[in-house]
Amino acid sequence: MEGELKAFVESLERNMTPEDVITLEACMDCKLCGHACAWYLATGDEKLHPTYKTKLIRDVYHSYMTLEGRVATALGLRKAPTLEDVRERMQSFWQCTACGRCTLTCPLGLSTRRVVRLGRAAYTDAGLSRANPTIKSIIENTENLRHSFGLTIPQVIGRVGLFLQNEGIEVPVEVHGADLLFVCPAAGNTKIPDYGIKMVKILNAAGVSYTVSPRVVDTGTEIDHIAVHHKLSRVMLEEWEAEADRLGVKQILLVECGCDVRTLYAEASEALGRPLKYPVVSVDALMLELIKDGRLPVEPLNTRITLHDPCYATRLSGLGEIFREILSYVTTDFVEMTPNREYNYCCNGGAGGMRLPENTELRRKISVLKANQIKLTGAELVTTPCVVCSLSLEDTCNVYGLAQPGERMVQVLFEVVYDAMEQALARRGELDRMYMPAELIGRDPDFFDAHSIGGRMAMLAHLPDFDKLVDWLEQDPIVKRFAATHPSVMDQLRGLRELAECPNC
Amino acid sequence: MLITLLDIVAPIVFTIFLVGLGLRLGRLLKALLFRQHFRGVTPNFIGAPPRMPLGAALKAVLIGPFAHFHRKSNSLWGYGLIAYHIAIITEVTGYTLSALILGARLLAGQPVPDVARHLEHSYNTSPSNLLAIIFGNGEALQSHFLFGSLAPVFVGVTWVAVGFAVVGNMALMITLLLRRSSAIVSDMDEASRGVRVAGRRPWDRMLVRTLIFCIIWTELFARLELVPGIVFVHAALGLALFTLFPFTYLFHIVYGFFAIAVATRRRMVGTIA
Ligand code: SF4
Ligand code: SF4
Repeated sequence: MEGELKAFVESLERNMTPEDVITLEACMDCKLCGHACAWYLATGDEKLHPTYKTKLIRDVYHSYMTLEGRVATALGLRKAPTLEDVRERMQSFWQCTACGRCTLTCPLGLSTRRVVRLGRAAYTDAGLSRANPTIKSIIENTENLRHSFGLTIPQVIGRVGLFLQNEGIEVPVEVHGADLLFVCPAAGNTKIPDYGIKMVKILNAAGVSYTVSPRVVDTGTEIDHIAVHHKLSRVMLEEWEAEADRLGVKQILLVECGCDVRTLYAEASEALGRPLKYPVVSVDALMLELIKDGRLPVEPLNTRITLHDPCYATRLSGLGEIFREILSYVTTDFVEMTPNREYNYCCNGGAGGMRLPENTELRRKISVLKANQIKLTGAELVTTPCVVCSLSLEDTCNVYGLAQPGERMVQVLFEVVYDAMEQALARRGELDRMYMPAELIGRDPDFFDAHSIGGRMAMLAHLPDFDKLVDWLEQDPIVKRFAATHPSVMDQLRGLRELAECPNC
Repeated sequence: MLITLLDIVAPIVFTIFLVGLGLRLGRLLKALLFRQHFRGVTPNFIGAPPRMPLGAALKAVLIGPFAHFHRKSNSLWGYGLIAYHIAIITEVTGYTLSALILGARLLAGQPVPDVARHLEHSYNTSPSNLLAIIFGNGEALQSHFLFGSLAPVFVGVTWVAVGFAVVGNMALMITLLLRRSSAIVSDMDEASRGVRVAGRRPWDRMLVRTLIFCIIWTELFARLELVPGIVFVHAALGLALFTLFPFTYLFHIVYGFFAIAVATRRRMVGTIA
C-alpha cells in the first residue's frame, strides 16, 4: 500500500469509534439521505450525494479493515480503492457542510456527518488535504500562529483595538479572576468588522465580569471542522483551558459561532478524551438570562424578523429554543421559516462551504433553497446566532435579490439584541453603560493602563515592527469596510501612523 | 428431490450464515472492546438542551424520517415500507418463536410432525422437515404442534402480517420496477417545490425483493393449501435468503437495532448527527 493510502487507512483505524463501525456496517446504500441534502437536491449531481462520500469510506473500510474484504481483495474478487480513487473523491468531502441534515431522513438514523469527519481527518492525517491551498493555509496558520486566517496577535489586537478606540469603548484585557473568558472565533474577528464592538457593548452594559485574552485569539473552529485535524484541535482546546487556568476565570464564554457551539458541546470531549475542564456558557444563554434578570434592558423592535437555525447550534447541539426565547423579548414580529429547527436547510457556509473559494459558485446555486425559505417568510431581516451563517446568508440574500443593493439584510442574533438594547438604553438615558466594562470601573490608573485596550494599543507601539503593523492596518480590507460606516477610524489610523513614524513625539 | 436438496444444503447454508454473522458482528464486538469511544457531551454546558425522554427520541428516530420526508417525497414507497416492515418484523418474530419452541421440544425428546407425510408424530429430524415446521408455522399441522391451543391466535396474527407483507412488498416491488425506489416524486416542502430526483433499480435489490416476493406468495399458497408441498419451496427460498443475509444490505436488520440505539442516544442529548 502506498504511504499516503496507508496513512489514510491508519487514520480511519485510529479515529473510528464503535458508533462509526455501526454506521459503516448498517448503511443499506438506499440513497434516501439525498432527500435532505441541499447540495444534492439543488443540483441532482450524484457526486454531491451523501453516499458518494460514505461509499468511499465504506469501500476503504471493507477492503482494508475487514477480514473477508482483505481476503476478497487478495483473491482479486474485490477492487480496493486506490490512492488515486481516494484523491479523486477528496473534493466531495469538502462539498458538504457536515450539517447532519441527511441523518434526519435516513431510516436508520445514520450520521453521514460522522463519516465526513472521519474522511476529512484521514485526508488531513495523510497529508492529502494539503493539496487544497485553503486547507493547507488553515493547518499551517494554526500550527504557526494559532489563528486560522494567519493573523498575528498584534494584528488582532491592533485591528479590534482600533475599532474599539474609535468608538470609545473599553474591554478588560487579561484581568485575572474575572468570571468569563471571552475568545472570539477567527471568522468573527477576521470577517465581521464590528463583531467585537456590539458584543462588547452588550457585556459592558449588562455589567458582566469578563476578560479577553492577549494570548488566545482563535477558538480553533476551522481546525476542528474544516480541516478536522484532531491533534491540533486538541492543542487549541488545551491552550484555551490553560489560558483560563492562568487567568483564573470561572467559566468559558462561548460566543456566536455555530461550529464553536458544536465543538464545546460535543466534539471537545472526543478530542480531549475527557470533558472540558471549565463550564461553558453560550452567549445566547447568557443574554437570555441577562434579559430575564433585567440586567440587560431591551425594547422590542417592530421589524419583521425570521430566524435561521444554524445546523451546528440547533441540529447538532440542540439550542434552538434559546434563540426563539431571546427573539420573543427583542422583536414583536417574529416569523418562522419552514422547515425550521433541526429540519432547517443549511446556510451552506459552514465547515468550509464559505471558506473554500472553489465552492462559491456551487454554494450560491444550492442556496436557492435557503433563498426560497427566506422569501416565503416575507421577513425584512434574517437573524442567526452564527457568524459564518450570517456571512453566507448575506451573500445569498444579495445573489437572489432579496436584499436591496447595499442593504444588510442579515444580522447575527447579538446584533438584534444590541439594537433592542440600544433602543431601551437610549430611552432611559443610559447609553453610557455600554462603554466601560465592570472589571475596569473604579480601577487605579496603573491597572487601567495594563488591562485596557487603550493600554494594550500603547504597548503595541513599542513593538519593533509597529510600523509594519500600521502598514498592514492601512491595507486591511476589514479596516476599509469598517471605515465605510465609521469614517472617523481613519483619524485613529493616522494617529497610529504618526506614532509609528515618531515614537517619542 | 427438493427435500433431498434441502437436507444437503441446509447445513452448508447455516454454516455460511453463522460465519458471516460472526464476522460482521465480531467487528462490532472488537470495536466495543478495543476502539476509543465517543465520550458524550460536555457535562457542564450552561444552556444545554433538556434531555429528551427515551420514548420521544425513539419516536423521532423511527417515525421522523417517514413523517418529514418519505411520506411527502414518495408516498407509495413510504407507506409500502412501513407495511412491509410491520409484516417482516411480525413474521421474523414468529419464525424465531417457532424455532425456539421446536428446539425446546427436540431437546425434551418429544416427537415432531412429519410435514411431507402429514403425520402428527414422528422422529423425522431431517433439516428439510425442521425447516418445513418453522417456515410452515402458519399451517394447521405445524401451528398446532408449535402453539397448541394458542395456534388460532398465532395464525390469526400472522395472517394479518401476511396481508401487510403482500401489500407492502407489492408497493416496494412496483416502485422498484418503475425505477422509483428512493426517487422524489412529489414536493417535500415549499422551499424545495418542484425538486424531483430519479430513482434506481439496483440488481441486489431486485434479487432480494424478488426472492421475498416469492417467499410471501409461497407462504400464501401454503397457508391456503393450494399447492401441496409448497412449504418446501418456501423453506428453500428462505434458505437462499439466509445465505445472502450476511453479505447483502439485508444485514441492516441486525445492525439497524444498534444504529437506532445510537441515533436515539444522540437525539436524547440533542446532537442528532
Ligand atoms: S439513508 Fe441511511 S442507510 Fe440509506 S444510504 Fe443514506 S446513510 Fe445509508
Ligand atoms: S452533512 Fe449536510 S451537506 Fe453533508 S451530505 Fe449530509 S445533508 Fe449534505
